[in-house]
Amino acid sequence: MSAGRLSRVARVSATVFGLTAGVFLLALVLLTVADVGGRSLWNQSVLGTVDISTLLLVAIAFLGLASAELDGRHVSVAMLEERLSRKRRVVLSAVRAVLLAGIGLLLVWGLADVLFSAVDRGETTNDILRLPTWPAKLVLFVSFAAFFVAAVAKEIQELRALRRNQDQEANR
Amino acid sequence: MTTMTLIALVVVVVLFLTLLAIRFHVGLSLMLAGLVGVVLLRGSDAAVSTVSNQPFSTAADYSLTIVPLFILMGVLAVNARLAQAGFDLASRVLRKLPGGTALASLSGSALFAAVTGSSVATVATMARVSTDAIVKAGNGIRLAAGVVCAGGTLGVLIPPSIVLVLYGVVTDENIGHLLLAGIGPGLLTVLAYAVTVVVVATRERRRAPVPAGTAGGAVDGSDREPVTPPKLDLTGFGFLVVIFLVSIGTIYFGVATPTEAASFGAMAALVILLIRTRPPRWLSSIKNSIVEAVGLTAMTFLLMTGAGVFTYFLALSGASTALVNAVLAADLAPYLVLGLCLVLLLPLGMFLDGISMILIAAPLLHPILVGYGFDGIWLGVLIVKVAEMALITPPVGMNAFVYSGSVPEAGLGRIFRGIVPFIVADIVVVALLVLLPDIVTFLPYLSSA
Amino acid sequence: GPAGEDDTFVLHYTTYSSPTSDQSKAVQRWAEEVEQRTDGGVTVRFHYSESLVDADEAVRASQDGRADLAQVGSIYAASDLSMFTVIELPFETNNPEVQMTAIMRLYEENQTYREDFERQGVRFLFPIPLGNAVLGTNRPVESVDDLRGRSIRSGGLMSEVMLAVGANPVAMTANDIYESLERGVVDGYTALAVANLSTFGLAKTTRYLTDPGVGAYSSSIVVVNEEVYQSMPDRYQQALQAASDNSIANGLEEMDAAAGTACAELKAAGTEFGAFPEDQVADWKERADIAESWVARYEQKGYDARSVLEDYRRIIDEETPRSDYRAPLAACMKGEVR
Ligand code: NA
Ligand code: NA
Repeated sequence: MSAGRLSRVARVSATVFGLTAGVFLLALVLLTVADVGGRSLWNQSVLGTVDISTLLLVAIAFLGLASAELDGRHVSVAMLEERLSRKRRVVLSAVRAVLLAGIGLLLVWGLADVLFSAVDRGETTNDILRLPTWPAKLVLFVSFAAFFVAAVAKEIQELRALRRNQDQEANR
Repeated sequence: MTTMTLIALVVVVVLFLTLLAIRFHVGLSLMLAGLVGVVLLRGSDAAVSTVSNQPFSTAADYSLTIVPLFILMGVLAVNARLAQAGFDLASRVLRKLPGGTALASLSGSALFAAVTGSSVATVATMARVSTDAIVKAGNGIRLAAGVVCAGGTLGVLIPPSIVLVLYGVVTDENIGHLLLAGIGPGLLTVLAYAVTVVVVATRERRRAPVPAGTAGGAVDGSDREPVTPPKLDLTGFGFLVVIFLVSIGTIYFGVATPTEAASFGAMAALVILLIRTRPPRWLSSIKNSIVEAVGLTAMTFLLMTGAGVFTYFLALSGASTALVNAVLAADLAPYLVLGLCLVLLLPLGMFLDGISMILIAAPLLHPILVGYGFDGIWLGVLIVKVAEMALITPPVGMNAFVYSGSVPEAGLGRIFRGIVPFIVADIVVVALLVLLPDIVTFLPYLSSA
Repeated sequence: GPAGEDDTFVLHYTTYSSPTSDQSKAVQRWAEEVEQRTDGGVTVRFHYSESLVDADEAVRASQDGRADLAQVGSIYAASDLSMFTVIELPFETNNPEVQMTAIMRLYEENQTYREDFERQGVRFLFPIPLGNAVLGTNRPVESVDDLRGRSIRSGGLMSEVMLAVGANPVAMTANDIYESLERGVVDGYTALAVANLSTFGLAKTTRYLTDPGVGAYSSSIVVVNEEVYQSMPDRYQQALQAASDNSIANGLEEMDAAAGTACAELKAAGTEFGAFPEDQVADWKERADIAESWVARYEQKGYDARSVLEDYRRIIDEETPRSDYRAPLAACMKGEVR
């Protein structure tokens, strides 16, 4: 897959995931309001609010990773790099791309393992509803996969832009 | 500590700093450095398990639902132009003072922090809107960064505070007393920060007076009026008060726990956004708000996940235990030991968030310092205060990172330079708490008498 | 791995308990004894309050090498050590010592129960007592029916027990109880034992404390990674077992001490004590019918859960006459000083 195609896929999935997380977040708000309202007015809670909310939070927490990456929200320390020559910045960008791909593969592979294990063991939450955890773990897997695709694609784009500028400088 | 542990520690710290230096994601740098450390100490199986289980175990925590909910509430309030209304009013009221808008932001942080108890959520929410208002009013981005990052730390002292509760749990100190004990020092910190804002803004103005025509708001006490004074949006300010009353009122009238109250705040903000937006734009304004809130949330949780892996490595290495033992072995005077213990917390804050720091440090420091005769409640407030300071001290502090995520143009260097005066204010506060322990213990012991 | 030079082992122990809790103190005593018996060959590095791994990951962490030893709470064990959760069933015994002995004997006597541990790659070492469930409320409750319509903080199977009498179970962490009770978010709490009350600031603030008759409702155990255990020389393995044999007595002693402190605080605060009548408790047990749904849930997953429940009940019947242990809340109400 070309980097351009990769980043288009990343962009679309990032948007879809971000909106899904947003819907979950609104659901979390409504669920809590219903639970507290029921408890205060009729002494009747929504059974399993904590179970459901906790799993919703796992999805909300990470589904937005890819869109946060593409919007440049993730934090990094730029102080040192600004002082380097373009050639060195190209090297650093390549190092970052390799590191991202490396840790990305490791984490996505590990998350898949965690997902399969949750399915195998029939893992559930520990409160009253005993909800299966695998859907949340599937969301984690997908979120991190999309995030690393987006991050690597973005880094490769930056690398290319840097090298283009380098060539232009050399031709000048 | 074995040679291997020592080697692992050096490798991990060097690796982490190197990764930061090559502009790698901070969250992933923490994760990668921690991962390598765990490989060295426990082998690759344990390392891979640690990293793979961390995202779920970080986020599968009901009490953390407060993070996305308050972020959402903040984003909705901004998009409903409420924050702007609040700042305009506060700036108008405080305009005779230098740095009036920054003071308005500080009051915003204090109110917000009082409800959330989360540094990170406060900073994430206040960062964008405060910075825009403060810069528009003619102050530098450094002041904005300083006041927002430092303002975030207020939430942990002013109750409700998750961090103070956790201190109580790991040390067996009375949780109710701890929460009351946080009030005095919290207000004292607000006062110290306000003085800092006035001093910094005054010096800023002396150096570079605001050029006429660029400032949107009035910031100075001179006779120069702004070109277009902000139109006061009193309805907007009223709605802001409503959100505050809904989220804090549900707690104080016993309707909801602080965690649950966050949902009410977000719900109120959502309704107000709908009231203040024309129906054809409803969908797009909700969509924009939730996407922004979800992005900020993801960034925050990735940091927490990385910190989680790093925390696991630190706990495994026993590095903190070794440090404390070294202090004990030196056989020093009580106040010197206290000082050293507190100073030792600061580098921990390079890598850890407030909660992890308390979970690792409090069980170590509490027995030693109580053994030296210090009051456990007072100690708790002091340790939590310093742990929060660690979140804003350079070269690495969680609050500064989160701020930089919301306001990318600020740059970490400038952010930390902006924070320095507030660290000075914090040092003064800590000194006062040591000299006058009654500031801490007055309320709890009054309540139990 | 934990093996060091010259046959020494440093075992990393992960727990959700705080260092000063009665449960941690029991494990500290175990660790001291192990260290003594092995002449320092085996030492334990404590990681309290989930500072190493989360409570619900304890079993997997001690299997995959993130930890060597772990405290596993029964409320966190539903997925990993399902059969161990039989000891959570309410109304089975009011004697924590009997519950401890049953946890140990099931490991020896019931194949299904033991296989769970083997599948997870961990070895059971010893149980840690928690005690009987108490019910703290801000208004008096004289009969089981008084619970109807009240919001009670609860958790795990205790929530189902509460539902059976029309109470409204509210899930929240133990840390949140103090403020929620003060502000009236909930009317009361359960799924705690007397020994826990001081830790969460409840011993000085609870106005009415009732023995609901539910009995031992939860517990925890300490497990060790099986491979690590097998890699140890015989004399170390024997040392671990010998220390484990003493740990029920030690655990009860530490729990009684914590409960004694709480009892004194409760009395100083003027707490009113009470207990539900036996016939109402019996009726409650029948209505809740939790044991049968426990069996059904795990039979569906392919466990011979019936045999585990039957053995648990048989052991309780055998052990109850042998024990003269009196649970802390009963002792506190009777004014016995420990
Ligand atoms: Na707070
Ligand atoms: Na710091």
